[in-house]
Amino acid sequence: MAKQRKEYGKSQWLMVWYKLCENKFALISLAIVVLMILMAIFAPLIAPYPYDEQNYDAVMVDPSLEHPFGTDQFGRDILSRIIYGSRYTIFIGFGCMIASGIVGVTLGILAAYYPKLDNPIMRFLDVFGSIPDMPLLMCLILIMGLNLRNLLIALAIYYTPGYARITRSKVLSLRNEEYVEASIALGASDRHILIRHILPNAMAPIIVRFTLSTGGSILEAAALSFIGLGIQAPAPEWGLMISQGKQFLSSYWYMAIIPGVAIIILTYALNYMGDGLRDALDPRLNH
Amino acid sequence: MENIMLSVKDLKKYFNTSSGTLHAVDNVSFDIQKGTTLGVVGESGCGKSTLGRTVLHLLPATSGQIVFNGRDISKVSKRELHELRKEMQIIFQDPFSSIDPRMSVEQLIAEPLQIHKLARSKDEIRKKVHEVMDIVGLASRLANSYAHELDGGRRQRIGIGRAIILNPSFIVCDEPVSALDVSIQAQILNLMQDLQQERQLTYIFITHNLSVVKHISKDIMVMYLGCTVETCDAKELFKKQYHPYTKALISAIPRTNPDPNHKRILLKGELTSPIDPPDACRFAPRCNYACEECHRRAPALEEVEPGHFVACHRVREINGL
Repeated sequence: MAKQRKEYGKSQWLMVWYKLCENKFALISLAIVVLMILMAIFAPLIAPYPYDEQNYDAVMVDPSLEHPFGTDQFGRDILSRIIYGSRYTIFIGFGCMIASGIVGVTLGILAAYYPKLDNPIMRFLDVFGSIPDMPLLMCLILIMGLNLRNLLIALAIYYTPGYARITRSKVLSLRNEEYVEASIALGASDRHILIRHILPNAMAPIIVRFTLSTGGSILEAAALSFIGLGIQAPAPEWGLMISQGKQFLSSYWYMAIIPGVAIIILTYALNYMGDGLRDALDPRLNH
Repeated sequence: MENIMLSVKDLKKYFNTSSGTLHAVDNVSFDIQKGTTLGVVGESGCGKSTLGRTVLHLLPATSGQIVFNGRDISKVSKRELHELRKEMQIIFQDPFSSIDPRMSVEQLIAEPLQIHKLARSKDEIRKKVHEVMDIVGLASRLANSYAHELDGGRRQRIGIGRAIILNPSFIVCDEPVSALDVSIQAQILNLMQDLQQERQLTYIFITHNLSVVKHISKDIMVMYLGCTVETCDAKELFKKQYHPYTKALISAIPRTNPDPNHKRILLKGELTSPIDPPDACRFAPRCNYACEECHRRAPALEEVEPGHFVACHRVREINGL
């Protein structure tokens, strides 16, 4: 790998990939995230039972070959519910990432490029940033109504200010780079400079923010489901499964612990992936 | 005089800072003939780079007139400026920070063509880029490499390639070699001189290195704190200097044959502040010859000898003219 790196003409993104490959934790995390996404897409093919099939002959049975993670109080296979539940988790995590990412990055660019918009946009976002996460999310969901779409909107609103702030500061500093001035001297338009120079160079911190906030939004969504303001039963959402399992914690702990472990694995994987990406994208560590 | 490429009159560039108005460039005038080089020298912070950038409209001028190729370009619309960029280019000092780290050599040199939509197809762009790479001495195997993989000299060749691909007639060279090793400096300077001869380019060559400027310039303008203190033909300036500041500058050039009798003129003190300067000679606080008048009134440029202009009240006295 070291030999390949010395060659001319390797793009910086390829170098990032090499660097990421050297970080075992990040690579394993990447594999876990990819597997989870595949699991969500192909859930009906993988899951041994439908997620809502009740079987009163096998209520709360211990893990066995038939039910690797056991069954819940209605005799539903926990493994199948975990597999189907990944669909909600992945959808919320990545949906929130894309929605808040697009809105936040756009607002950040506008604030950095047009001084007149800077204060209105940033102070407006500060209002959302100043309220602690749970009260803000609960208020937004209760105002808009309880459903998956509104849960996603509320989470996207909560994560937007972070993207906007990080983009704004990065764009502000990049605007003063000499290569941007060089491009102006060539006669480049604002749009050209933004697309060709500023965005590619601002991408590194934004990408890391993407992965970190995805893990965060998954946790927030699970927490909201746990307190009953997220996805409603009988959907196999992981947070909701913990909430339902907590009353059987002393007698039959599989119900609460297994979805909990699933959440932990996915958020840890996303965070380690983000850490690895951050290191790989840092040119000071690269050369 | 005909054949003048660029004529600047009373150019001023002031910056508003929290502690007052900073006079970066104050009443600077000069003419450059087609195909020649004007060397602008002065110590750090004397407004050389600001002058170059103001001429190119990278910074808006506070007042003054810029006539380019017989056309007044002091006030131009956005569209006119866009067209003008093809004619006037800049080579930056630091080839490390003036090149986008995420673009390959080919992309970097092709960028001006894309901005001005001067090529119709990808093949045409490629062909032109490789022609320019050949001219500036970049091997074509480097086309897909990135700036961080190249040394300073090669990076500066990219900067020169970006400047000349639009076929400009006038280039501001903002200390293009000061960030490079001495051995590479010579290569880059030779490249720039070859380009000048082939393409009849006109340069403003900004530098603090007097040996470099002697090598490349036809005329030299010495600046001190935003003002011109002396300007004349390059060869003449190295023979006889009339302004006390220029004398000090020339005497500070390291010599290849040290002469024990050679006395260097050492200037005392620091640069005075360019913020709200008084109407006086800017050099007076550090000048060995300063008299009362120097502190009361700013000297104007006067023609001491044909083609040799000096801004000093006591120039005749000091030099016995």
